[in-house]
Amino acid sequence: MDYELEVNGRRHTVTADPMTPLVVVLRDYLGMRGTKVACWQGRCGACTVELDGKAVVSCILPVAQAALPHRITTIEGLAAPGESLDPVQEEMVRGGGIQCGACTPGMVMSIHAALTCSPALSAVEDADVRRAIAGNICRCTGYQRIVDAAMRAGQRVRSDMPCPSGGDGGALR
Amino acid sequence: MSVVDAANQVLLQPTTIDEAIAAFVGGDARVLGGSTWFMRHRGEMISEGRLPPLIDISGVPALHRITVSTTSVDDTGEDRTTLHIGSAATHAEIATALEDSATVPFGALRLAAASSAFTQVRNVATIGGNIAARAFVEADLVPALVALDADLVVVNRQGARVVESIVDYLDRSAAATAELFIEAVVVCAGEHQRSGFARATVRGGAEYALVNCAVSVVQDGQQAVTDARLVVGAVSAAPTLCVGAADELTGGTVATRLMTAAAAAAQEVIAVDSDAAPTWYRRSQIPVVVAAALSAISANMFPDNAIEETDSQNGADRSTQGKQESDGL
Repeated sequence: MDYELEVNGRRHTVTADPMTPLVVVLRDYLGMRGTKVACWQGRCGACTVELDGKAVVSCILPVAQAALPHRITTIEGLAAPGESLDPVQEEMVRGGGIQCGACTPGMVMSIHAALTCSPALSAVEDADVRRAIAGNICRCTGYQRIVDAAMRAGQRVRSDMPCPSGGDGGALR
Repeated sequence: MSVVDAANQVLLQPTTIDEAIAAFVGGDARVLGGSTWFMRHRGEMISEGRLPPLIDISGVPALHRITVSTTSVDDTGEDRTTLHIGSAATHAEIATALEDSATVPFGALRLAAASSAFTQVRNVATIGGNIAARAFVEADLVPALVALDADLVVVNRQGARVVESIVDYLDRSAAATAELFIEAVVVCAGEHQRSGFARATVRGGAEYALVNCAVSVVQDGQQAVTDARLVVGAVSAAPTLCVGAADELTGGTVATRLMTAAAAAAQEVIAVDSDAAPTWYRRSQIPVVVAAALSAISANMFPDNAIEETDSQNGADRSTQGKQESDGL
């Protein structure tokens, strides 16, 4: 069956079984290898993307439930090659929040979804970030540098910036 | 309604309740909500040759509806706050909707919805799926619905619309595939109803509960409990409605009866082994989680705020972070 997807603002048409996981469509059908996959159970968060501005795990999301009118944002959508990195990406690099990198795209997407669409950006605290990334497992960093990077990014992102995905992505209060 | 016919999977995607019912009645299709349970077990179904046709209700806007109204209760004639939750409403949608002050009595459901799993799953997993996935004994919304004495509005395979208490539904041996959930209905039990929820995990974040507990009490003007429902879940095949623990609460305040009720609940629940923890450990956590759920009533807590626990050994108060995402990273 043909499905029309909007990924990072661009329309794509794919032919796939309706229950094909979205991460398979992104990586293997559309060639967007930025989204990683590890557990295939929706438990580790490596495959996190934004669906209508909300963080979701794409390894257990059927492509049929992600097609138009839904809007998908992947890690590739935060910054194109040659463009400036998103504040979350910049702070992760600057603060040593990346080691092997396997969890990083999913981690960045979870943080981005929470920060960008949160109404309380000026009050980002350690506990807020940890709640937002509770579904993202990292085996390398011990999380603190990731949390610190997210908090710095939260200070940089203005609360009056429009949510790029138009939805409510936030776990922050 | 779009009909997808692939080599291995039939998926119907209705956009209205009537379309969903039409697809369900008289057939053998199963209902798909957020897909979180189904996609984790789809491989097993394929290998066993039992991949069913599916009806995806996530695209039915009316089934995401969460409304609060005032209805007249037949036996008392009083007006009671009534909560209607469409079967496709996600955990995140429920948690957000129940932040309104009018829904304070339903705090157990708000806490359960806000603390289950983690953000990515809460954004897609539905209340209908949480109820229908009978093998998912760690479901967090189900104990809360039982504590709040919810009714379920379902359509059966013959097309009849039936209203049934969730307790009766859970007691029946019929498979969940026999009904299409339309909505859950919760009627406030009284002017001073309050409810709480707590869960225990291994590390604190993004995990299935080892034990969860939902409790609802109705209090008089002096905060004495006049009626109570206390439910322990995740440790048995189905949530346990702890009648003895509820009796312990009745007649006193939550604060004064907290420990005796917690101890009584531990005696009523039959815990079973799981891969996450042995029976003895899960049983040891039952009174702790029950006490935390009762404490949540007093404080009307959000899941990531401090929940005060009372140490029965030395009478000291101990504050811990809420049972979910702020722990364990």
